[in-house]
Amino acid sequence: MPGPLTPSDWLLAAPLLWLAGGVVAILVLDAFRPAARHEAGLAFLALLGAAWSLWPLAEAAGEPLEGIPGLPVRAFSGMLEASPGNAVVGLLCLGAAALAGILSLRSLCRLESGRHRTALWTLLLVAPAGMLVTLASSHFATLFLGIETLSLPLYVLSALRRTEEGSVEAGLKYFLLGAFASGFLVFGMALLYAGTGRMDPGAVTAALEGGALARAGLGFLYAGLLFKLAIAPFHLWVADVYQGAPTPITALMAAGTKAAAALALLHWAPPAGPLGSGAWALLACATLALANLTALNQENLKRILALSGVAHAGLLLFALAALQAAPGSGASVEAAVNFYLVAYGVSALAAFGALELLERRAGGHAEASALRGLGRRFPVAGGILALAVLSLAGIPGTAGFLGKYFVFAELVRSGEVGVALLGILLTLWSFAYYLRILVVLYMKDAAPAGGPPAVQDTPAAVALWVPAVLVVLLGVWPAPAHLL
Amino acid sequence: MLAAYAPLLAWLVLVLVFVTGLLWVTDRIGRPRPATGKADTYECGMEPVGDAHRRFSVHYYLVAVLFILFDVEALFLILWALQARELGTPGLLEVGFFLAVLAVGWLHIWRRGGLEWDR
Amino acid sequence: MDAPWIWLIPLLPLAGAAANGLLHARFLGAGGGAAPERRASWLGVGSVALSFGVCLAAFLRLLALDPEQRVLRASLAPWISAGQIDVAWSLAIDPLNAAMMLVVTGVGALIHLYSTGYMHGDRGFAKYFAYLNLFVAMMLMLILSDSLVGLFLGWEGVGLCSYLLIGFWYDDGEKADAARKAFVVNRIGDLGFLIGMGLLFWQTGSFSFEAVNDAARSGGIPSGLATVAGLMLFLGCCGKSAQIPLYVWLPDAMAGPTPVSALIHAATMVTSGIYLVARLADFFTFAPGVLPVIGAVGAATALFAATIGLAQRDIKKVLAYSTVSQLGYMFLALGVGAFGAALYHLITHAFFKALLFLGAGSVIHAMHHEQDMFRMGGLRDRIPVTFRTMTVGAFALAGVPLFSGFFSKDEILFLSAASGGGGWLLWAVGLTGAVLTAAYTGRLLALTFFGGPRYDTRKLTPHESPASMLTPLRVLAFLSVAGGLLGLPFHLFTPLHDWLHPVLGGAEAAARGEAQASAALEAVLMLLGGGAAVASLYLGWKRFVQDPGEGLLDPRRGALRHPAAAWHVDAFYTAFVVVPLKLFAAVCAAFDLLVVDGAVNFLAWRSRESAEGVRSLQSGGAPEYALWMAAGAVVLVAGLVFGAL
Repeated sequence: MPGPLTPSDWLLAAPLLWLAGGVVAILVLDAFRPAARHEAGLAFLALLGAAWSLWPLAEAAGEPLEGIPGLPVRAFSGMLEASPGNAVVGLLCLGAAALAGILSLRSLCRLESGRHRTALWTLLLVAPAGMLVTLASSHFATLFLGIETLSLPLYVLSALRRTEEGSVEAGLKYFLLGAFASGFLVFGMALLYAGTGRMDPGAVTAALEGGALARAGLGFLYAGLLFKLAIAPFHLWVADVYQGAPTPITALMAAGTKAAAALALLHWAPPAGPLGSGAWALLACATLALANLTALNQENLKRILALSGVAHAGLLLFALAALQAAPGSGASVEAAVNFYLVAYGVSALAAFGALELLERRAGGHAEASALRGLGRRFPVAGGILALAVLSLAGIPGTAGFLGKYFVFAELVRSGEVGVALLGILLTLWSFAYYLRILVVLYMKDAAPAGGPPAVQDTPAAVALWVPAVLVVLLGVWPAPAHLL
Repeated sequence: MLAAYAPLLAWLVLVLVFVTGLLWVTDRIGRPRPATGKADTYECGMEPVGDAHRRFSVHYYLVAVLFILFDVEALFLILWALQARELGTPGLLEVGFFLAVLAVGWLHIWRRGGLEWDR
Repeated sequence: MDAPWIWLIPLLPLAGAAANGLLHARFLGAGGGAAPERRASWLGVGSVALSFGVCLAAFLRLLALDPEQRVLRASLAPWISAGQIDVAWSLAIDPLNAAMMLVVTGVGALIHLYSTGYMHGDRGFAKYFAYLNLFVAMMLMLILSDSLVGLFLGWEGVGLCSYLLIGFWYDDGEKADAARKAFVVNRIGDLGFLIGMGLLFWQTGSFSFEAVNDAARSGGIPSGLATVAGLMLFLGCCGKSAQIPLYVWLPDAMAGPTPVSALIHAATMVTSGIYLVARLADFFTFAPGVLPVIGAVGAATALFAATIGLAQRDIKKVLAYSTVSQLGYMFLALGVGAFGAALYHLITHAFFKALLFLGAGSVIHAMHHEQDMFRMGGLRDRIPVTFRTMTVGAFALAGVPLFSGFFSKDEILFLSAASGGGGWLLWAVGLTGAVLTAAYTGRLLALTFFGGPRYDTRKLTPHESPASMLTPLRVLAFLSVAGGLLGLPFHLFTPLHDWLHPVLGGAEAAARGEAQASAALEAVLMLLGGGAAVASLYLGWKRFVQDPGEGLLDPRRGALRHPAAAWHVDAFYTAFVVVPLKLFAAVCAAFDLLVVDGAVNFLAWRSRESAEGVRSLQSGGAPEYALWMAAGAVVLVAGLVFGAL
């Protein structure tokens, strides 16, 4: 029987307790004072508290925290494990939820006279809690629990605009396919447990010596994880769901879910693992190529950004390929992945956030034709979107460039120069559609203003500066998020 | 280690053979006598009326989901109950906390009218 | 020793730049007015003055330390760490850059103060101070950084500010062109800098100055590579410090506001090449063959630019060529291993050349933006303070005994004569240059302040500048005289050299070897140099005070027509560098348009074609998606089970 909670347990549990506490508080308040509008305040308080309790770990670069043995911190008998770099990614997830919340204040919160307020704010707290569990998971139980805790709220949030076909379609599609993927995941876990008798990441390496049962389990486990990360051929849902979901939620999915799933994959794909560097590189190249090709002819900016997210997830697999090719490079690969996730995360948050503001001016459309020339009319939102797109494309001076640089540097150092060159070529190919976004934004013949005049959204406009500044700051000063 | 599953496999094969064999035998020795009554949904009893694709009240699903949610909680309680003496006061406090959290959910549903059937 | 507070030195002007930038943005539409101008002045001058105060504190802190331990370090945070590359945001102040930072912030603060008067009423007043503060911040970053990367950041930063300030009045096409020219010419030098930096990193695995100098001292850099790296770095210095063959941008850079010319293009930025060589003194000493090249280029530039200075009609152009020439003297000193003497001349030059430029600014201000000396004359009584202070500056530049320039230039000439080898040749070239310098200085004084007015006295009544402009002139005039006390000859009193000795002493000893000369020789050379300077100054003044000699510059018959056209170097560059490059660019453009674009367009067309095919995958049907997922899972499982992956 496990004893009382250790300091490590408290450290990793504290952010979750803040978030859960926020949920409970909102529910109780809503039960007795449905008219009072305290949800947003409580939710931000909970997010702030979670970030505050996660901060010490993110800051503890290189040295263990006082009273807590070792780094990475292991908690709950090794069911959760998190390094300072992971904590930085965790802060990104919390930030993504906060930004999604701020972007919703003047839009989703007012949907149907605000009747979904409680759902919105509680789910916006539950989703990052799931992300935090997922990215620190080192046990089947926490992995599954985390993935389900992050997914279920997102299914609902995607369909929040329930009078709009696209939103409902996104929610349903995400739910059905997500459930399918969860089936793979839990089935894989079951087979792995049956084959190896273990439920920790050691099961993966143990499965290599195990029989066909355990190996089949691995296949299902990875299928489930790759779905969440959106790797070809498990990526097809992304474009539809990201496009259909309300844009603040899309931002949260792009930055948070991807980060959590990627770190989970890194936990569960140890060096000298079952899939060799060739297999990971193949998956990466296939994902990049498919995403880039599909994005070329798209007319919807949200869809292009969604596919860009797929391409970025593919690129991340190069880091896993590097890890397989040079098993000793664990720490620096993890640093590269963490930085990449933060860099992509802030860029995606800035991009989707700015797109949300522009969309409102264009009557709720993200079609290229409706957004023509809006970058000139709304210089701040347009500029931030352009900056984010440059970062996603990987232009030097932005965080996105350094993210790509670190990943490819790992690949080159592991000796896979050919793969790195192929990857860089595939990345360059993506410039075609990134540039298209810029062209649309700054096109000469601006689209006529459509729809009702948009509400002045000062909180969103101010909050957007945070990821935008981070994009530039991390581009010249990567150290805070690149913890070796 | 797969050998451990050999009996299971044998049982699976036996089941398949037995079931298909029985069906096959019935088909061979039985003599088909088609009649209108046989094509009905129920060969005897009530007459089916209307379409099977009926719309249920959404409250039905709501209540069903809530029932399942609180039903599953009983499962956890059983696990605790089996060890209640060994877990002692800390265990009691923990399960109490667990129930309190659930109670918040229940409270919320109740106050917001989720349990009122005709609303 | 750790001193995090020294970060304030570059950060204060940076904050000033940011604040002024905001001020400019806010009041862009408000059309100026006195209040924003006053605020910009306070911010601009105040931030640099505060920074000077912190510099003084740092200097005193250093002074309190044991001479061998005089180093203040401050590391803010890691910057780039990727693989072997590990660069941090860190500063290190030792005696060498302590001297530089005092000059930069001290002279900088005076010039900021002067600018408040000079730029009064300009539309872009706050913008001007934003740029100027940014320049000071970048210059301090350049000086104080402890690694080549940080120096390069500052190096590019000051280049950017120089570009912005030369083209400050950008609606004048000529000025915008001058800015572009400065930027492009500096790019050529920067390429050399980057190559040199890369070679050094490749060989030593570090960007820090200490590591490079240590490696050079211990013979850790192969000599061939050291020579190439040294020459490449020197190419960078040639660009930034306007030496042959890359000096051509500096005369054009006079298009900027005059205080800018004083601060950037005379006192500080253009000396960063000298600073770099001194900073890496050990490395340059141990790189075979590099110092002689530096010395030769410096001497040649000193003489060459002085001849051109004799035949200019624009008062600022005279000073610009004079700056090129004086920088040549500093490189000459570096080339003979007299690093301390180079720094000494750098400092005195910063005083008297800033003074001359600011004085010229005051003259131009009085003449309502007339810069042609042939349209001046007789200003002596009209603007007496400017006249008196500028005369002090001119005496210092010409090398009149007891003025600061005399001591520093004399030391350079003496040390080059005493350096053995081709030292006497360098001395002869340097002395000729010094004679010419005195001559054009006399000419400048004569044309500007003496004789009768050659402008329309009915339309224009020159008036003395405001106090905000005269105060810096007075302070700098004092410094131009007193600066000589930093290093008196015959080892009488040499505080600067003693101060720099812990940093540069080793390199000087290694570079100059046993080359020693008697005090008698020093005395003879000093008398010779001082006498020649005074005589030449008097003759130059005498010759032009009687007759301005505009005919001498006549492009066809004038005796000075070739130097007046700057020896046709710009024409030469246009014909042999710019035009061929443009032709090459045209060929490249054609190739790009036909072959590269063709290939790219073909690829794009193919991509779009196949994109249509791939897009059909994205049917929108959830069952199909599920099917693909299942297929993927089957492949994964099969691959893992049969060990194919």
